[in-house]
Amino acid sequence: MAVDVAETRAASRLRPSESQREFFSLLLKNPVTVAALILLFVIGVVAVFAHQIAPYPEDATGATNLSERLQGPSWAHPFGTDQLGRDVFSRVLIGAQTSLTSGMIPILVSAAIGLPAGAIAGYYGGWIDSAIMRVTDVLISLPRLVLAIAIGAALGPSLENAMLALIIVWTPFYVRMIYGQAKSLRQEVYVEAARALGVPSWKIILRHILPNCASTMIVVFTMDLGFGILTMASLGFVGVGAQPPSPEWGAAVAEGRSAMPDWWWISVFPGAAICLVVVIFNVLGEGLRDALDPHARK
Amino acid sequence: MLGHSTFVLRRIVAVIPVLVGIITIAFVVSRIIPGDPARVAAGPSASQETIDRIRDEFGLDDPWYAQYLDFWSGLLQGDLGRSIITGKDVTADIAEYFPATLELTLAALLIGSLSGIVLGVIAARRAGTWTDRFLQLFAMTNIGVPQFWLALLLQILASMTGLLPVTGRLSAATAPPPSITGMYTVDALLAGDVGTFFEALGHLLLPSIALAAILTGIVMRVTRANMLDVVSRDYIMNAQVAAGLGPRLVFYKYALKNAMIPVVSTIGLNFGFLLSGSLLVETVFNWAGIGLYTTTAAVSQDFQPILAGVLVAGAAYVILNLITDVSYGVLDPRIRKESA
Amino acid sequence: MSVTDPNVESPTDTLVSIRDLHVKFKTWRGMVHALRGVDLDIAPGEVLGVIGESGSGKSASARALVRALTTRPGIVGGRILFKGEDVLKLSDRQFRRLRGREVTMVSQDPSSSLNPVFTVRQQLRDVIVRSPIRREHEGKSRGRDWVEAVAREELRQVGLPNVERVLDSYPHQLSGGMRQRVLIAIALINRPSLLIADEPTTALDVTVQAEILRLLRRLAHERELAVMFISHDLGVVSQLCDRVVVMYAGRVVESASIEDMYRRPVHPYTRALLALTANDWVDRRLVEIPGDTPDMIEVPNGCAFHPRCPDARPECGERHPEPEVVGGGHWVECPPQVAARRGLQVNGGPLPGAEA
Repeated sequence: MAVDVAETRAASRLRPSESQREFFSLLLKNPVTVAALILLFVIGVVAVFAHQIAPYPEDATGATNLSERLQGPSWAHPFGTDQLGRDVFSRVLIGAQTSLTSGMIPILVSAAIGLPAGAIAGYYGGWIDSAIMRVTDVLISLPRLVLAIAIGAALGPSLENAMLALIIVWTPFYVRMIYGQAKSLRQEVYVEAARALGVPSWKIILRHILPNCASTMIVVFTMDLGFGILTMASLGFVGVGAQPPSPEWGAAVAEGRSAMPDWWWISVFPGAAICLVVVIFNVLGEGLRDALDPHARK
Repeated sequence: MLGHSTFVLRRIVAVIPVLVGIITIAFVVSRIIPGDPARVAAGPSASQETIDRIRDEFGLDDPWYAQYLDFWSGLLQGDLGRSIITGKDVTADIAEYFPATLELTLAALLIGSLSGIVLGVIAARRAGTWTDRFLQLFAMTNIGVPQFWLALLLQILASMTGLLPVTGRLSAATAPPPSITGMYTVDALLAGDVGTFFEALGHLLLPSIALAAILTGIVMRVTRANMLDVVSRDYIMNAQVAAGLGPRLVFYKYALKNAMIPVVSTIGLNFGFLLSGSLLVETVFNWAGIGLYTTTAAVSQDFQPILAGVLVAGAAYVILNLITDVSYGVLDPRIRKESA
Repeated sequence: MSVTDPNVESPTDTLVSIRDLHVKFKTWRGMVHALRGVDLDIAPGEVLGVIGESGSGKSASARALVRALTTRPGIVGGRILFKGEDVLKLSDRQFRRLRGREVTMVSQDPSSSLNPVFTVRQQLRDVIVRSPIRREHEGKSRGRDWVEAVAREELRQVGLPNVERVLDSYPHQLSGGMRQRVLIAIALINRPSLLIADEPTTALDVTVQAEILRLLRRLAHERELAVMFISHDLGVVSQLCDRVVVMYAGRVVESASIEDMYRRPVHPYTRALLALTANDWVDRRLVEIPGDTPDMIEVPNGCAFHPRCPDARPECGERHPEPEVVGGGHWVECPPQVAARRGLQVNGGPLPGAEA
């Protein structure tokens, strides 16, 4: 059966304009998703301009004000002050910069490494396939946080090391995720047709395989951005991530523990920030999933 | 059921290379610690002699392959080295702290699964209503909430209301029951000591809720999705149209059993969250389990316990996946047929 | 056999009487008008065949009868009388008295109609303990035994050979034919007055098909069970049914006894279907009905069949054809053909399209 080349090209690419419009309209239909998008934007802006917005930015970089220590939430200090008199609100705002970037960057790097690796493994098969699969098999058998804490501790407690640990721990998941899809897509008619036509493998992977995995990837990636932030904060909390006096949210929660429960605001507000951000990313991910594949959910 | 045992055996064999891999990774991790652990262990004022002795004792100067083999031989003999900080045998430490983590994890598993299933069924029954929407948001929050933060919130709440204890497994005044399983609640029951049982239970409650939250969210969503999917299947319609069975029977018996099949594997897949979470929750509640042990070691770069923690987590994970795989066959008769 | 004329109000002794049933459902392309005024009667104990292509509305009619339509908006007009009671006016709770009890259904795909995680025994038990049979046995035997005995008997009745083995089995361990028999058994436990069989043999081998048909015929006669047998296969229907209705594009276009349908078909569509069944090839050319089935979102004006009809007249595309009676229990929606017949009958001579 001769395969029409035009049909091949058409089958392998989503009709751009039609599906893009449908996608955006579906995405924006859900009010919860829209709210999440708006909130995310606001948070982003706040994080970028944190130093300008925060009333006491110096409190996030080491200044202390012992005369005002342990004050509850008030107009002057919406989130109260901590044991060193630092304004918690300012610290949360500026901490956003550290928490958000240190959480998201490792996920981006993991995806950048893992997706191509998984696509190659799934597509080529053979020994590359087995090798990559054995390695990732083991790595995903360990809970991510446990391994990240172990690696972070081994490398030495610091923000950079924690980020590296996160990358090491997260990449195998992306490899596995795309591996399955790449493997099954390889059997598709249009891929075989492309190979028969002599299209080089890397081109096939780039133009046929990766775009078709796109919808699941995007959803998982979005939610992982949130989970990356959460894991970094957990590392900070345990003590192997950001180190005091960094206003990173996890570390801030840990610092506030000694003041518990009477001066609860020191731990509660940074933690609430983490929770908010993670939930927003999750909601966004859900909204994306519904918009990309409306038939997947009832 | 001969078919069933080959099924189980094959699964067990497949797991062995993974275990070897985990052990190797744990080894690698524990050895990449920069700096001189011997010096750290010996303290700032130790003499060179002491440091050298410690180095020798821990084999820190041997080439890496010697250390690796040494490591394996030690492992197979049940020797995981000694904690540089506590000075005790790590194996002994693990044995001492393991039951506490087991108790906590089992409690969380129970609470998380049951609440997740119940809420998921309710959400499915009332799909589309405000109840459903609220429950879905609740599930999403449970999944996204930082476990250590939730633990702290529960602590604050408990402190302010004075209802439940906030640290430890028992109050300082109470002696632990005679140890059979090492789990205070179970041991207290076995010893017939009701007072201690309730006290241990009270201490167990908050940490297990904090740990279970993420499981509740995940299980709830999977249950809801599965129920809705199953309810649209032909055999559900047939039960009503051909056999005249009422909607309640059809929903709670016919649909539920089918919907539960993937839930078990979901719980197994997400067990890792319980393990990770125990590190955090134990730290907050000062729960003397392996999680607390590992995080304390992590901050001090005490590599033997870190290694042991990784090993325990990996082994637990692997074993649990095995159990999940096997139980799948129990629930779904079609799977049994395939492996026979 | 009762005379059924859609222009007449439902006869009082009839079991099922559907009048002017309209079903619509929304698709992403538009509103599909699946049933456009269906008129149908079923007498008690009668085996009625419902013939049509896919999209003709035959399955939709069945599902409407048991209120199992899953798409919105569903039933938008008409009446469905069951033993004189308008089923569409009943509440869900009231209707559950009937569905699965007085009226039951057996569907096309036996592989998905049985619950995969319960044994046949468990599924039968659930129905038996809630059925009218219960009253016969209550107090007679001790405890659970009677349910087991009933289960075995019901399975024997549908012709299953080793009943013990079947009872112990899960659905995936049984063959298609066996599953279909189990489904029929389940459908009959509540001793319904009407069994709807929606293409029950389509998914089965030809040999198994014949057995199932024989089974249905026997059960219908033994138990005075009315059967609504839906199929696209005239040959199958002819073996089983007393009377046949032909559906096209959401309406019943002809209704007659099986003999009349074969000997004196009137509607051009019916005649075309019969020609198809008789021989697939004529003059070395594959016989087919020219044209396509109509788009149910935009149905042609007037008679839905007229774009494909070899005898179409101008008025066929303008006015909607009204049903007319052409003989005892035989009515049809095709005024030109009816008129032609009446004319010919008056003048004598053979009727067009008649089989010798």
